[in-house]
Amino acid sequence: MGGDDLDAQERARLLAAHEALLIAGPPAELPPALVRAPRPEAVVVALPSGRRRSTLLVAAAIALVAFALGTATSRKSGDAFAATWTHELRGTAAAPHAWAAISGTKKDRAGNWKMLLKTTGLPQVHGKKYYVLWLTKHGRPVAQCGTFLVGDGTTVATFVEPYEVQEFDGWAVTLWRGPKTPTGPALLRTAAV
Amino acid sequence: MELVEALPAPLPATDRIQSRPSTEPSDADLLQRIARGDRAAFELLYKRYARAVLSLALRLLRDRGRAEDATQETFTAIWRSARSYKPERGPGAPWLFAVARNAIVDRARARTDIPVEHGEDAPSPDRDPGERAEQAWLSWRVHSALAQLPERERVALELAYWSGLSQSEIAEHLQVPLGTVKTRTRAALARLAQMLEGEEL
Repeated sequence: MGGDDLDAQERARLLAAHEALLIAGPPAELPPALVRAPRPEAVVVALPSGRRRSTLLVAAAIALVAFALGTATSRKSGDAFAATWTHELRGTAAAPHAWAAISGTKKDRAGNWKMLLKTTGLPQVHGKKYYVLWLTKHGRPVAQCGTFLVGDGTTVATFVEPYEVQEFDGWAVTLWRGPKTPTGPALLRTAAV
Repeated sequence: MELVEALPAPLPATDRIQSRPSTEPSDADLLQRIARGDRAAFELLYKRYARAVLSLALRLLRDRGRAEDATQETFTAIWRSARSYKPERGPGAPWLFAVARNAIVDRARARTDIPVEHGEDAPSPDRDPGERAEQAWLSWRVHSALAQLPERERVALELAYWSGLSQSEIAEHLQVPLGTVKTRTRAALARLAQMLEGEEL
């Protein structure tokens, strides 16, 4: 390998950069809300924290009502989905604008649980390429939950899983490009669950 | 990751790396333009430093929601106080680091159960405060340098160091030849080394 061709000084410089990267660790991925610079010139008075909290509570209440209505609609159509947990997945360096939320139910009598994935920002893929949802251990994808495609805007995909979720530490989404190609990097992933 | 795995043959002398393209303004230039209300300069500085600020806030606050708030507050503070930056006193990065650290500490003080030791890393039994502060500063410099690398070099480096992929897997993922991945990784490391050695960061 060409590393042997380096003179000692150049090698020391590169080694210093290499070690700095290892010490620093990965930079944080920006969530959708921080992808664009704020507009501080437009801010006249910041919301007081109490008022801001109230605003957040109202937003949370609206989201909860929307979720409840969605659940009720699902039940009417005979497709009950009563989520007992939700986690957020954020885009990695390989897909910085992607975002997803994953919700799941309790296990049913047979031992399966249902999962709902809502995602935005992943590019559409064609020609026998699919996105793959994984359960991860130590950040690495180890158990495949299924494949999905995305359309314009928000995509909702459902999955049924038999795994013991507590044996894993998160979820990740990768791109599947064929049986002989490597798994590839995570495009979305959760923080530790 | 092994260093040697990343390195192809040395670049010809004519291809020696410039730490930052000469057309790119320095942090000091941007801060002076921001002081005059230049929105484009503010957006460029944001692109350069947003991930470094968020990373520092996460390191110090260990709470994603508050870290995101602190990131917004840091850039609001930069916009408002850019006039207080004096280029004759030094480069922009240390000034930006101080502004970010102050915004983060202010955010932590709003909640008493988040321990922050005046901008140092979170307490750890095996590292002293000086060492923690040094590591926070090094991480800041590395993350802000990363943001200034050409996109294709930055992606190659991030995939090599933090995705767990081998060089061959990166080549497959990016759909470029293996040699290209090695060249980009090597160039990125050289550029990063030059930035870290320089006065700017």
